[in-house]
Amino acid sequence: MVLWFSLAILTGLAVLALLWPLTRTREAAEADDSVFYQQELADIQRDAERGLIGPAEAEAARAEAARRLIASRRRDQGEAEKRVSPQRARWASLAVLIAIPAIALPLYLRIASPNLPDQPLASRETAPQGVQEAVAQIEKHLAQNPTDGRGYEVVAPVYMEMGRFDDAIRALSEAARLLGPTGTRLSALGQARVAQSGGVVTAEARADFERALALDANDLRARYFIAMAAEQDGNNNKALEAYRRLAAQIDPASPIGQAVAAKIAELQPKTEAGSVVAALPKDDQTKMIRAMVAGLAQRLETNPVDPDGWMRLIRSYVVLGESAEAEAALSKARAAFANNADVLRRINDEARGLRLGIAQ
Amino acid sequence: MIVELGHYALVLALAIAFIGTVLPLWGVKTHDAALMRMAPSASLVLFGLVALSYVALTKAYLDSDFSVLNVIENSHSAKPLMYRISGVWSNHEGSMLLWVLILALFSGLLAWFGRGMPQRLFAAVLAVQSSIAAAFILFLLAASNPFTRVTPAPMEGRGLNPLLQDPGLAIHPPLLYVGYVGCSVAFSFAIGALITGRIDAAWARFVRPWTLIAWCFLTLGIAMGSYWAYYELGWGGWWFWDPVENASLMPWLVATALIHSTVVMEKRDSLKVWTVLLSILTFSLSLVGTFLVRSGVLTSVHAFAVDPERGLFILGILIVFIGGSLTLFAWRAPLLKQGGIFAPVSREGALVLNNLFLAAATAAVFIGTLYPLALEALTGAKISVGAPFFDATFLPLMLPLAFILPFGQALAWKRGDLLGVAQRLATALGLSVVITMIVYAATWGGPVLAPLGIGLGFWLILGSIADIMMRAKGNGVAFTVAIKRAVGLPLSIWGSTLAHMGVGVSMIGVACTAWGIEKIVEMKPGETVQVGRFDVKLEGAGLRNGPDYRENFARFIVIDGGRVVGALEPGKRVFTGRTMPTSEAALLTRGLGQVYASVGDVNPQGQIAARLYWKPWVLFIWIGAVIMALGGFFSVLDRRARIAAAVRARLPRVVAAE
Repeated sequence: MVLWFSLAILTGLAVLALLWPLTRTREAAEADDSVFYQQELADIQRDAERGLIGPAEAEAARAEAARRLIASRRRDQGEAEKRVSPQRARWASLAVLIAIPAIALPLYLRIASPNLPDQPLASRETAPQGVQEAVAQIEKHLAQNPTDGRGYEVVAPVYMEMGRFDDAIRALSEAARLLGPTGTRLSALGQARVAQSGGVVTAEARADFERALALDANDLRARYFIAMAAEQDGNNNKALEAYRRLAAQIDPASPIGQAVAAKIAELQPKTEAGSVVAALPKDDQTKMIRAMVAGLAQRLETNPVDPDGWMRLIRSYVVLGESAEAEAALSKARAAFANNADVLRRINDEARGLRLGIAQ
Repeated sequence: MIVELGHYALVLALAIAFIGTVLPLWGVKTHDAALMRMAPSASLVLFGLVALSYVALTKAYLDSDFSVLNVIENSHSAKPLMYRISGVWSNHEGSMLLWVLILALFSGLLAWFGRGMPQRLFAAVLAVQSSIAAAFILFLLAASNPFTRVTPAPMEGRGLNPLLQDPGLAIHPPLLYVGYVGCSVAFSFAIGALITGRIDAAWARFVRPWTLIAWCFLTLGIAMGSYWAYYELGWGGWWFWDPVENASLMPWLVATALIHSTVVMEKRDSLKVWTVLLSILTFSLSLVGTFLVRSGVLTSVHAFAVDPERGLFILGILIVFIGGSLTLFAWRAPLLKQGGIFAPVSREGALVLNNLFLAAATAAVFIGTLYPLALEALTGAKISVGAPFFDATFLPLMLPLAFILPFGQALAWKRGDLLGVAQRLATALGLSVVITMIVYAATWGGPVLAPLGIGLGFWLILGSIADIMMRAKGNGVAFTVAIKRAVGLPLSIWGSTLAHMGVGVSMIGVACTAWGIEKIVEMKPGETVQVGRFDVKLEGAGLRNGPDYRENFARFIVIDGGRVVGALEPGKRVFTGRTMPTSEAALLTRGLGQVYASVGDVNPQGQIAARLYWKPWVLFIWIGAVIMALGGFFSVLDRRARIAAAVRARLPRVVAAE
């Protein structure tokens, strides 16, 4: 309300100021150029007295100035019929009265936000705060006290929450620099880097975790991410081993415990068999594999409804170079799923891929 | 509420500027005194409204009101007070508002002090000023509104561009803008003269103080900008022939020509058409400068094409005002009556020569600045026209101009005596030649052209002194009388003498850069490098915090002849809210020279990359510019320049005497 009142007053004052000259119809005395030429004549006089110009030149200059003065007078008289027409003044007043509000108001309403109050920072800082405001205040505090490592440490988790990973990395590096590195600080920094790179344990992050472990070998977060790094490198065995060692030390119900358990469950099938076999000498390996394949074949004899099992068996025979066995297994598998077109097609596809069953 | 009030004031100002253009021009056409009297009222109201609007924006900056987009983008609650105020004009929108504010201020001053002018000219000039204001306020509201609001408001702003967070740049834009915008007054006078069809010596006297004020501020603004670039950008140079610099140099050159041609017009009633053309060109080049800097065309022609709204808007303003005024000029200028005639060898002749040189120099800078842009726009090829081009075009025009300057200054009006002038200047010329010889002898084997530059600088200074002495002595009077006379000389004579001496001083400063020493080194703490006669020792490096930045700095000790004379602490700063580091050069002034240091990165071996310079007499460059501006201010204060304001006060007596 106060705003609209102020805008109205402002408009009114502006309109009045423009109408004012229209109300004075009496002609004011107007200046002419004579003062200018009189000044010039005085200058010439002074220059002549000082001897800067000779008498003849001074006379010529005087004559020229006088000629110009006369010309100027004549022109003024030519223009002198100054008119003030009440009719025109009325039209002009009308134009001012209409045009100014008609331009200003619609334009203002179109582009402005009259309902938005001023929001000076000082008045907002005392108002109740949300997370945003709290963060802003800590940031301001840190800008003024950039050596306050505790401040950085406090604000960092909030940044992580908000997804501002760059800021979190900056804050955690500052905290580590100012308060001295510890396992916890460095592993938190590493975690922020992982978050920033979308879950990938980068070389930079790994360096942080390794430094964290050097300072505190029991830092669970660092150990977890080092294991994850191994997993991302494709080294599943090493990763599984690390996860398992970690699982032994932590409460399986805690968030990290659950994460570790999930990882173990995910990695176990990919690694179990291979890892044991890989540890044996070459001959023993073959023996062991044959034993495993024989075991699988036996299991399928008693329980043939296992399409994946059949396909693994067929593939194993091909790998071992026992094509007759492979063909036999293929026939058995086809027989087992004769009534199941879907599985039969998968088996045939697999067989074609392994160049089996061509004879039929 | 204050923000919205300011926003409304700007909208209302647009309406007032529109009315203030149309109705007074109607009055001029119909010779209606009442309508013409609206012009000064409209101009004063316009100034009041724009000032209110500007104050409102400044208040939003001071209060860190982050509901205003412009404040978010260019301020930060940790900014020191000074940079909150300067933050207003450190960005596009705010600086355009400052531009309009200064324009309205000039209109207001003109409305206040110009009341002694012929009424039709007065009304026409103010109406033209209002039309310029209307165009730029429309631009602000349509394409660069500084009052755009944001809701919900963030708690923190993004901070000021760190390069701009510097006292030099805080005051550079206002100075430059007063210069740019001041040129609009001369433009409006020219258009007013073309509209009313009347132009005479009195016109020249009315327009002169305004042109001089604009020129003085332009001089100071350019000098300030140059000094800022010198110590802030860390490259050690003081002029880079950068398009932004050229954009301010071009109006300066034409304005310089203009203040000289108005002298001829005032004294001799000639060069009318040329003066009107120069007035139009001066402001046109100011507009071109604004366009170049504000449209983004400089960063890249393509950047301009991507977001063309602002650029096209300014381009439109440019076409309307420059095209319109030149059309009006072509149509009406032949109607202007030519005045006094003069011999080629005369003060007038010399001033015409001065104008030709300055116009040619402007053309050279114009081509060097715009040709690469045009080429890039047409063919996509990026070329850079740098110092070699300008050295080959600009300098050959400036050097002869400097040489003939003292002769022109000493020539009489109408018909001069070159031989007599040469005789009177013989001592000054002789001394300058001797000085040149001495400098050659002392620096044998050094730069070849630099001693010539120094000699030319001295010639300008001594020639100006000789001129004053000649005027004071007249045809031989006693020493005390001469002093008295010298003191009594019109301020405008002292002004022009000072300004010409300033040119000489700057020229000496520029010439002396040839003896500068540059060392680009990698240093370890404890190492010493010799720079000229100084030993510069790196003491160490460190880290420190400012109010809103962190700085890596190096500390150098400067030793002169075994004695420690001072310390230099250049650094690199990273500001809160910005990631770009800025270099902060350090200067140590010894006499009028400076030891200059800026640092780069620290390499893994702990070495610091540093640039160290010794720049003898470098301060002369800027001292000369300040002297030039001072000369201009002296001229403004001349009682004859004040006549426009004085006429009305004295009118009753004059009328009574008749």
